[in-house]
Amino acid sequence: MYRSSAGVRRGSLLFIGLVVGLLAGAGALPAVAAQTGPAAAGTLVRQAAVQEVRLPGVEPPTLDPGLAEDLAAVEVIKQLFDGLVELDASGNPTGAGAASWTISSDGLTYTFTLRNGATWSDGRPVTAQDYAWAWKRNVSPATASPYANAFFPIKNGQAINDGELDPEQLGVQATDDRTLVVTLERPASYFLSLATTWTLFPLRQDIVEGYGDRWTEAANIVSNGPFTLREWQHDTRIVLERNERYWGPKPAIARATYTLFPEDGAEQMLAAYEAGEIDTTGAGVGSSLPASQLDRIVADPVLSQQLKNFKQSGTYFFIVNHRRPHFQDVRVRKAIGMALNRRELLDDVVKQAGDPASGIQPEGILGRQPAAWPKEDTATARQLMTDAGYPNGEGFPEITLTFATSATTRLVAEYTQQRLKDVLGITVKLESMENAVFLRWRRGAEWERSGDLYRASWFSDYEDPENWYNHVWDSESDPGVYNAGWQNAEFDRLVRQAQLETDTARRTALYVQADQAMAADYPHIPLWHDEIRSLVKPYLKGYVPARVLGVTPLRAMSVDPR
Amino acid sequence: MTRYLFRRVLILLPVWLAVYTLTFTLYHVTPGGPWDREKPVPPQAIAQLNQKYGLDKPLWQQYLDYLAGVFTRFDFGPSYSRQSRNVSEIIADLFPVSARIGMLAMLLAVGLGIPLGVLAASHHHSIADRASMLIAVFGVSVPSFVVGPILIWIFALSLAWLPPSGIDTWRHHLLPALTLSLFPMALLARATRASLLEVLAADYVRTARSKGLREALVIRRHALRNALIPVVTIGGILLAEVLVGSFYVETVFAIPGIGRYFVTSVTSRDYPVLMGVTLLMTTVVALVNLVVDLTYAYLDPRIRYG
Repeated sequence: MYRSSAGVRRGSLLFIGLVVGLLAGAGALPAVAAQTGPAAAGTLVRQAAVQEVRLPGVEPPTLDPGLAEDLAAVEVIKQLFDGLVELDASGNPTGAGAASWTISSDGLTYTFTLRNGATWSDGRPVTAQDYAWAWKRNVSPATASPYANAFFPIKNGQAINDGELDPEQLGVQATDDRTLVVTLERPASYFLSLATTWTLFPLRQDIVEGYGDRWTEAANIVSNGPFTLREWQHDTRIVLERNERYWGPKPAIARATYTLFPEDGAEQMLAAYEAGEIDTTGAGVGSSLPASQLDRIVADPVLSQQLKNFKQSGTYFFIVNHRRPHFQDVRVRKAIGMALNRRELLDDVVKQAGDPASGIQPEGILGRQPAAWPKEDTATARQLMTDAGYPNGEGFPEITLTFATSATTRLVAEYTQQRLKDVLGITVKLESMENAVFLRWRRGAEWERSGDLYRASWFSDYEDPENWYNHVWDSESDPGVYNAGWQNAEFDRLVRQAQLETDTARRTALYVQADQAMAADYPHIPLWHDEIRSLVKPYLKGYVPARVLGVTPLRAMSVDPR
Repeated sequence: MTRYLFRRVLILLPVWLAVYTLTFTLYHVTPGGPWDREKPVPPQAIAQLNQKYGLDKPLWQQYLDYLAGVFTRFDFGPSYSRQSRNVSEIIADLFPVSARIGMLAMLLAVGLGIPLGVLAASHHHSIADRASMLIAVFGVSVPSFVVGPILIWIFALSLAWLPPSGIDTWRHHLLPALTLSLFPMALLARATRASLLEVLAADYVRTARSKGLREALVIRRHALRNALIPVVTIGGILLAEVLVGSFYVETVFAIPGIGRYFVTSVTSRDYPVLMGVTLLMTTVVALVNLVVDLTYAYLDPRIRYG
């Protein structure tokens, strides 16, 4: 063997050492930019009088109110745009873009008088033509808006979207610059709630047609809400700035920065929160706190004080395939629902926030009767199965629970499988599919023919019973929504009558009866009502995400400059 | 040489066509479409969206339309999941980010991996050798989505020296590049060691030593150059891999790069982006292979291209 040269060793080690040293040095250098100055977890460092809030977000697929359907998109759109009306804290419509309105006695004609002084971010006044043009553009089949059905209560809305009529035939007319007359197909008490949704926001024809697909880029966009889009660096950040021309009360927040994270970015959001880069872990897409870190957060003296729970207008449930003979007995469905222990599922299994649900409709939806729905009760559940002819599950076929592959959904599925085996003695087979494949499958013939259960959810677009009872559960709309094959003539009759009813008291009474009919028929298995658990820095005031879609109430928030 | 280069670039065309055809077939055969959401989308809206984006046309027409768009207008199509942008813009935005991190990672991998391999080979069977290979095994075995969060926990949360996510400043690039570099570094170290061990046993190396040359000079001037040929091959493959971005690293560090975007375009069935990124990756791999082949000519004078 030759003599190993110290020179080689020296040379290599020197080189390696140099590189490592450079890295360490780079890391240890004091922060260059004050903005990215790292802060230790829990440090309350805020600069005086800078009303700026930093939120987490996800890249929105679009910011066009006519094309949006995503939570990420709606979150930003609702800061940028105003519709005709808004709902106040008690759920009553108040004027936003519209100063006042009158409704004809037959409930078919709404006349909106637009607010004087409401302008676009470039100074031009918001006119009734902006609303009329926007609605016609959004209902047109060429626009392919996923929420075009928001226009179906309006005269000719459905026919236009079917391609039978020209969009100009839509029952909306700008009789002058500040008057908008809307004609409905049938009376619809929920129309004002519908008007709070983004597809009915006004748009600037010259901007949308002038810039085409790019009109929502920060350099081009023109909006009419309390905030303007200052910067949209795709996949990186969105910066909103207070609209100084806004007619309404000026928000305290002057600037809001959304740092954009990947869709399943709960861990990254938590790390950014702890590093002091964002002020809350948020309430939107992917904002649930990672289940694996929950115990640590709860045990942490600082973080546990910053933990908040926010109720949401949404429910998770299992959809039951009513074409399957073994599910056609309501006792079987009730037994399955009553056999589950939802508190255990939420707290111990998935470690998520949630409110165990006995009924489907969440808090805030008029007519809901949670007391009418069966409570969790394993003894009764077993009895019901026996009554239905399957004592201890004997004779009951193996059923399949299908779900889109994801860590939490798998936990829910496995829990259900185990629980139903233990309590009722029935065998559940689990089948998972890639998300896109699952979403296609549940619409199709294979589900109809051989599917049994799948987990689904519904979140209110607006907090009106119509959005649940009619839009989702009326058997006529079913194939388009959950494709469950449930049909209850009594329920259908009640909700269709309620839809046309203009008197609030009678309407509520009808929905109450409908909920009771639904409870008695127990078509699907309610799991839990959605809740968001989030960390919020103590200096962030007024952060109470809306029950509908978790939208950040930027207008009402402020930063404590302490 | 020019003719050789020209030929190599020209061969890209049939490669692209083959990749295009294969990818097109694959995603049209795979179930699931771009418009379904957790919240059910009305079938009518889905039909309208298909019509708007030409997805209701017969497949052969879609196949040709895309090619026509690329060759006549250099138009790679719109994005289905980013409706205000087209594919070229998205790639132009995201690819440089991934490439920057990839290049930095490769520099680290080469700068640390090759010397580590040299150290190990020249001190065969010693502590230095075993320690180097231990580091290499670690780099190869521990996945980036484990290393990444650990580094974030140490440097971003506990020490607060570096930011945990994003790519705003140069400091943001360090942790992702470091995480991404571990695997290539380990492979390069092992490859260098193995190759150098072989070369060090050759006759001409024995000649060089017997001439009285210092060991360092023997390695640097005579052995390393020849030992590097297989290392360059591996390095080329690794370079192509890191340039197109790692899904894990980009997700863990919330980096807007092409690696993450490629995976999400598959799950969201964003066909134009999927196709655009696939073609981009094909080009990157082909070009890197070309550079590797040219490097051979530099390293080994016996290799010449006509």
